[in-house]
Amino acid sequence: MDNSFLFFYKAILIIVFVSWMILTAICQFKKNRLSQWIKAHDVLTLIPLWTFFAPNPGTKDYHLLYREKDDKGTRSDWFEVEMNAGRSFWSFLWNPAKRRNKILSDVIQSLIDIMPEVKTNPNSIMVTLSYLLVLNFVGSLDNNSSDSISRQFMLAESEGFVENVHPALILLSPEHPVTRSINTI
Amino acid sequence: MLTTELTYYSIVLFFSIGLFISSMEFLVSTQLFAPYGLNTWDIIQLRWSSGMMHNKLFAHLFSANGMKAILVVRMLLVVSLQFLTIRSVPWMAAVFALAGSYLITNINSFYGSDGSDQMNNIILVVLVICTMSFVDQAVMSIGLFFITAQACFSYFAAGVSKLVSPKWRDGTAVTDIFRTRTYGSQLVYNYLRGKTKLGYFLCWSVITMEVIFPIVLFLPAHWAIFIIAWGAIFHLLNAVIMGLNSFLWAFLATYPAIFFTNQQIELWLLKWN
Repeated sequence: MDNSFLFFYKAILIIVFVSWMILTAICQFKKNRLSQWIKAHDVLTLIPLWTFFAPNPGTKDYHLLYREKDDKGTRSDWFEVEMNAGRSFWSFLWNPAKRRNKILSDVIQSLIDIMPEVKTNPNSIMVTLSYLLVLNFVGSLDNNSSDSISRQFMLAESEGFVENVHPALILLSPEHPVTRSINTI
Repeated sequence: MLTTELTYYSIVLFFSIGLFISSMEFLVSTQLFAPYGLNTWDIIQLRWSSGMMHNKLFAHLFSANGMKAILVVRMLLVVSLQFLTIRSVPWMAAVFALAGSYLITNINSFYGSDGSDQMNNIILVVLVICTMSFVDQAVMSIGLFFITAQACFSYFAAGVSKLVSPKWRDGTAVTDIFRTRTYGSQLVYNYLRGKTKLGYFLCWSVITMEVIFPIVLFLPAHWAIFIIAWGAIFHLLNAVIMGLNSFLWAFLATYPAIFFTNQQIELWLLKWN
């Protein structure tokens, strides 16, 4: 390969990698307008966030529950979506459940983050991506009940293995009409 | 002394094990991508205002069946990489296809991705642009230096963000994280509960080791190996206690690059003197 081409290639490479490191550094620690702009345009999520479990480590377990109402107006008990089933010994090698749990906890965390922003207009949370994902998911869960006309979900948080502390409510949705066929997960 | 080729082969081995397991895990969870799944493209696409994202190709690719196909191809590619010669044309083809199949799915992974996915992104891009057939040793080394820089910065940033956290500084963070069913363990929590001094020691040892991790680059080889061994044990414990199995492979994959850079710095210092 032509030496001048390789020289040019190396120069481009160094510029790309140095810029990548600078963008990475900008996006750590405190959120600011520049970091949010970078994240919004990072289509392939190439800019990492390395602040694992800090500064606010996740010290709560999230819970997703739902209930339904039938055409007579009777509400069912709350059903909990299994999120935190015990891990097997082999989870250090094979842990497929973590993907669904991570998505669900990211979605719930995103809703928690949004809540202060929608204080003046709480209904606006219902058009956010994370709310729609939870609603779509909950709306599809099979509960063997054919006469339900609406579903409502609740997000709660608990203290994990500490069982003498009551879970706290994060969000209680309105009752949403069930308008589509229900699938088995 | 690690050669650039041997370093890349070692990186690819660890990276491939992690990616193979991760792809298998997704393969048994493709209902996530179904229309009623938690990661359905029907809704995730609303994140993107650009019309480019709302097309039939992505709708097919990010459906449950499309994702199954992508994941199977990805698994075949990571296996094939183990038998290919670096910088050969088949290697380049496999690396390009792997990067394509991996990076494209990031568009659909707004939620649920973690640090191991982020490290995999970095390693894949380096493989694509630094192991092509026309590159020389210097280009390959630049790629290894970048992986090293990101890996060292990842520990440093994680350490600093813990250093500014009251929960980490007062020694309660580790016990509180292990208290959760999501990332904890009943056994470990029961052991740690009430042992405030041990909790304090664990928090501060993580903070200290993460913050000082970048000095691995400037230490004599045997001390560098000690720091790297700490990292490996740290990720192994996180995998066992917290179920963070993919982090183990993704970060192990960076260690050959870190050791290579350490050796290069030692050589430069020797020449300098």
